[in-house]
Amino acid sequence: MIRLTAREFRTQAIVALGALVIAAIVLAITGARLTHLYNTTVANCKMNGDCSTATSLFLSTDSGVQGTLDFLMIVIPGLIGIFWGAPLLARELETGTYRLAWTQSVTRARWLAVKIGIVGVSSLLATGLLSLMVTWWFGPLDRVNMSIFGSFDQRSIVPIGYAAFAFALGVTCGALLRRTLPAMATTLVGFVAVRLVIFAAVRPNLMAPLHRTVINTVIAHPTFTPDQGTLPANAWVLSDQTINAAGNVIGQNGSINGGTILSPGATGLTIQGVGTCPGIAPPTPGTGGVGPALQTCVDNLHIRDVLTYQPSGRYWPFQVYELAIFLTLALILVGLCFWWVRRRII
Amino acid sequence: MSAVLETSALAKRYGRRWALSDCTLKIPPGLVVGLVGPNGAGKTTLLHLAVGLLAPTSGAITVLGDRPAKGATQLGRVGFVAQDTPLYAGLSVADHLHFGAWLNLGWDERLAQRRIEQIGLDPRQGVRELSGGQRAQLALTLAVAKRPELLILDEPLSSLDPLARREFLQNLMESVAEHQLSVVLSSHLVSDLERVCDYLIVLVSSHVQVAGEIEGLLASHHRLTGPRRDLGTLPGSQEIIEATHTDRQSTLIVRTDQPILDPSWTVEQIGLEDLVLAYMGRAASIRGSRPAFLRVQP
Amino acid sequence: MIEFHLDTRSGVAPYLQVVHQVRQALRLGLLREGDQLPTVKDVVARLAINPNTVLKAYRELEHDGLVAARPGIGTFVTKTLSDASLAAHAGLRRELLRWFANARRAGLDDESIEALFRDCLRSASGEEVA
Repeated sequence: MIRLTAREFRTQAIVALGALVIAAIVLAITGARLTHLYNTTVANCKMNGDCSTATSLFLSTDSGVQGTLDFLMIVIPGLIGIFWGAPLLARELETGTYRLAWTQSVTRARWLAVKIGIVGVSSLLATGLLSLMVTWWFGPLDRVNMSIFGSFDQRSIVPIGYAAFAFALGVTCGALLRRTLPAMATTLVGFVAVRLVIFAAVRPNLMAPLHRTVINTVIAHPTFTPDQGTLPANAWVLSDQTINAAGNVIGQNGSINGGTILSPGATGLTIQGVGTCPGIAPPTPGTGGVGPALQTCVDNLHIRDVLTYQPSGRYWPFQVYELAIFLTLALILVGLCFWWVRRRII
Repeated sequence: MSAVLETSALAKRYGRRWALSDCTLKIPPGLVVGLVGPNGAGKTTLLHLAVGLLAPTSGAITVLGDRPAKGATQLGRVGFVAQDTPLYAGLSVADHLHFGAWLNLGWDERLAQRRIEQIGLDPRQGVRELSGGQRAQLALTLAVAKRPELLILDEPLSSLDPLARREFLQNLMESVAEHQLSVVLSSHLVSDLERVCDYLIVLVSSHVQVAGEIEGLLASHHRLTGPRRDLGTLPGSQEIIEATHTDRQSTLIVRTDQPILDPSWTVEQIGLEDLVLAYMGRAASIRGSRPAFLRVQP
Repeated sequence: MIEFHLDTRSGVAPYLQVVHQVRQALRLGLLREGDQLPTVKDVVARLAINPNTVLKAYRELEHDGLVAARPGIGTFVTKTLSDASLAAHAGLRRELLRWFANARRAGLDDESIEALFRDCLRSASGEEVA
């Protein structure tokens, strides 16, 4: 049975291996170049003075490769589910060859176990290898970018979980729908849906987020970006809410809902839902505002920003938790398939 | 003598439709069994239950003394050729032999090679290039080369032309003689089965109508022709399978082991095809699709 | 080695056809003492009939003393029928021809003669009658 599965899987394995080898070569070459560039420009930029230019120049290097890799890492687990998972049972059921395969001297359970084992493990290995290479390649860039949670889906170990889940989902859809194309479509839709749900609702809450209250500087200095600089680097900011003295939310990202209104006659600035700052001319757009006086008024009105975030130190625990979630889902689906096959419900 | 196939009130239901009902059979070993019935009668369902592709809704079935598909050993003792001989379209003849070898412990490679040569197949040929007859022969090779004790074939002749049919049956009978196989094969044509079968099961509308050794069935069924009369006047030991009347004449097909003593009846032998048709007709009228026993001839 | 054929329309059971063909071959001298009959496998491979049919035929021939099975080797002719050729029954032949003439004179056509003949043959063989 092992020999048979290996023989059937041969073409796909060669394609995957070939793709990995090509990727390895391209990444080795460009990655070495990238590291060299990092070492010569950004690493020493503080000494030479102009870090922001060096940084932005560095970050835009090989942007084509960056985009391709990020895209691949998003798409490959889904492709594994569609092309390696969905046809596994669906094709046999659709063409009727299951009547040949399941009447040899191999029980269904063993047949399915070997197929899922060989193709499943290959999926995990391929994805793992690719993720390893891509994570290594992005090393210098991610160090400069300082937003590890932004590329959470495309690095380290979670892609392995995605691939496992997509594969298991593909096999399950094939078992339920018994036709290859519908199974592929359903796998895609199901995979995207689950990924979105986990990304939007589960990941932010894998551990209870932390909160930090900071001074609001955006009202007084409209050109300032919301003040997240006080957070340690690489933190994942889930929300940035402006609150008033009573603690009610009155805005997002440093601004006020409804904005600030200049009273007629230039007698003062009304801050919606809060109060007024008398005797202050409105901040002029483009000039940076009236600075210290308005800031003092804002502080006196107890307008603050509350940051909800996950600190960078939680990156690895989150990777492990999310991997565990997807692996568990995959195992449940595989178990379901086995149960169906053995009970001859398929 | 242990049965090769034994069922006890076996039934299978899909949703609300019963594909097989109350099927009780006991097939002795060493026979070629013909399973005949119209399309949709439940033949494929019964055969799939026998090879473990389906699980029963109720009742029991044992094949060669074991639950079907119970384990690798039991699977190895039964060879199966499904309807329309499924094969892997993208593979070659040789690939299929590898398939057989890798999935069957009891695989006899020399036998497989000999048969392929005998059939005249080129191992490198893709399965797509084969004719219907060649596909059937290849599928039979896969089933026979694993050296089973029982061969189950689901309508193997349906899509074959007469020459291919003859060659397939020649091949099959040769294997039966050489390896002392028991065979169960299904068809919706009696003529296919008459040559090769010595046991018959007639399956109509999910029920077994009659089952037994063909010689015994032919000996116990007779056609009676005689002057027209009421059916109530016949002795009760005779089971009437079919009765047709004209204004002057009654024709009956009866099943009985007793001699027919009424001299007004002309008693004749009945052919297998007519026997099967009589049972099919009876099943149809029981189901209500035809008025019972009232076919008036001009 | 003789070759068998099967007439599916004759109404005669296949095994009996095989028996008859062997007996015919023996009568005509196509099979002689010591000749081997085709193996069961060869017969069914050619005729596509059930091996049990051939086995039954060979068993009946063996029961009649015409052939003998040697396990592992084959089935061999032990006695010919050329002695029992039709010529030896010249007396029966004459009687039959006379009877046919009588039947014709009584007004029976060929089919009636045949029906009568078969009927009497059946009752003489002890098979059931209406």
